[in-house]
Amino acid sequence: MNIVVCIKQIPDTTDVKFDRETGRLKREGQPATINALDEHAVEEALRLKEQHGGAVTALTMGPEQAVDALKHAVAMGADEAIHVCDDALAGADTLATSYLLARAILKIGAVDLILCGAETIDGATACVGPGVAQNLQIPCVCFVQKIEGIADGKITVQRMMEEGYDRVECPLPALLTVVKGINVPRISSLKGKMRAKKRQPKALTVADLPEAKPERIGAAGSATRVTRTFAPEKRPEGLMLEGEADEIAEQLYQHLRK
Amino acid sequence: MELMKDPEVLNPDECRGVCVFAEQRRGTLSGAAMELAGAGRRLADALGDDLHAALLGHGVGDLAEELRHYGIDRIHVADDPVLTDFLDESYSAALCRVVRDVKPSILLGAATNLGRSLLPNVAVRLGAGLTAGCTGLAIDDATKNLVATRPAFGGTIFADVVMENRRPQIATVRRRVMEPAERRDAPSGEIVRHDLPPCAAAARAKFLESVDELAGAVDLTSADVIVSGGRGIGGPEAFEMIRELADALGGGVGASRAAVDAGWIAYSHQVGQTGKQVRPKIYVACGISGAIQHLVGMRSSDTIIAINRDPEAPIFKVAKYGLVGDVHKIVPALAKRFREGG
Repeated sequence: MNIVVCIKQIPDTTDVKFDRETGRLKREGQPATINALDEHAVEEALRLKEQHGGAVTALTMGPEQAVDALKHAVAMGADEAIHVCDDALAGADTLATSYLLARAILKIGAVDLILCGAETIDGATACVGPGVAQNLQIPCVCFVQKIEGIADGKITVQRMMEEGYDRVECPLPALLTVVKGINVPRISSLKGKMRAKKRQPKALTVADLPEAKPERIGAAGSATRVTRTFAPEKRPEGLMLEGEADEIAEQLYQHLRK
Repeated sequence: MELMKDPEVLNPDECRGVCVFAEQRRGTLSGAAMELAGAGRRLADALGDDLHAALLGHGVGDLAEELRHYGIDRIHVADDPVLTDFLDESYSAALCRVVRDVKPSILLGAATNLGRSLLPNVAVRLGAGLTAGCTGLAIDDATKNLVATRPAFGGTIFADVVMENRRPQIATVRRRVMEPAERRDAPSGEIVRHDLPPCAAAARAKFLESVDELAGAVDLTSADVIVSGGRGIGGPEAFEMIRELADALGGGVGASRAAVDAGWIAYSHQVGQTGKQVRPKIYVACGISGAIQHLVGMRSSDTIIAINRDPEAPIFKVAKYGLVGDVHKIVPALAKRFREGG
């Protein structure tokens, strides 16, 4: 069972600061972390490997510092890590990113399953996972809350929906995006951390992916363009209600009745 | 695995009008369909073009008839047994088929779990741009391009996005943001059937069953009122009083990450960054301190009411009404007062 987990490094959002003048995000000197849902994807991959054997490869596309997210996955237990890093990839939207990741996955070779976090905390588009699946022309199930089992080359999963969940069976290879409810990610062991320190992820540039068409990667391969960023309107100051519970309830009731 | 061939992109000069994906599940139209019909109508009017809807499913003739009451010019229906239940492959193949026939300039879907699975796949098949999770849609006066507004970084920043060179310009739209189209008594609009050639929409995945966990409870993403409990309520048994207040207000029960991680309530109730993004008319946060993880999931609610004993809790910064005191006394008092009415 060879599993690829696509991960992304994101700014640590509890610390997000942005310039009110330009509306741009202050990234410099800000802490970065692996996207939370991607950690769940790594965990699920490791559990499947423990059951079925095989190898887990963590894959990311991003700037140099994104190597830390890969090291996090290796510390958790991933066998291999691949970092696609190239200036030519800057400005990629989800269309260009999913194409490039699909290209990189083909380079890995025999892959049975691809796992992604359902969405990232920064962009929150939830587009790259299904985009990769379509580029590779493999079946895809998004928002998976549980993998029920794998047998006879088929995986059975629960897909979270608004009113409950759907059970879907899917032949492998397939791509799944996972939600938080699927598992509780392990804490990296000291041994894992040591391993991650020693092991340098494999670096790929665009030159290593000669089949990737220049007009389909980076800003050139993107179909969306951000024209403006701005801060949300500030909410007006709220009204504080104090006193005995019954009095507070009466006050709120009268306010809401208006 | 084999890479998809370069997509055949639509010629922008041939594309006109707006098409909305009318989502249905098990024979029921999603409220999202009417919200998109409303948003789509406004965009189509700004362009002076037609509004189309795409409806996929099996035995959905009644739903197509129902859509005729919402001011849509043409309702395109692909009715086929392979479309009975949602599978990414069959639905995206069928929707692409309709889009290639209709050639809309703009394609809108809802940012529901179904829409967020389907539209990214469609975008790749068409080689088109997609702006996900939008909260605003407008037509640029000069270029007539779609300007899609979306939050990023948990709503700390908003971005205007254009997809100027590709068609259709695809956007998924968050629930409860757009004013829904009003139902008119007299049906209008033409129903156009799209036959799928055999196997055109075959899926390798197989739909086994749908498990409805709500069973009469409220879907948070479409709820008018949500009452949520956090760490401050103290334990799983306290969700009983949360539920009672939710019932009194006719709403659903939400929870903070802390309450879910503690095992007090199921993950499906979680509101926030790694849970559901909600936008009710009234959101009551009980014993929730207001960590950014929670705020990003609920801060666009119309009226936020926060109950916390710590007057310095960050939740009060987004609250219209801040109730300072013991959550165990205030929540039951509220439930009692709202039940009494008057």
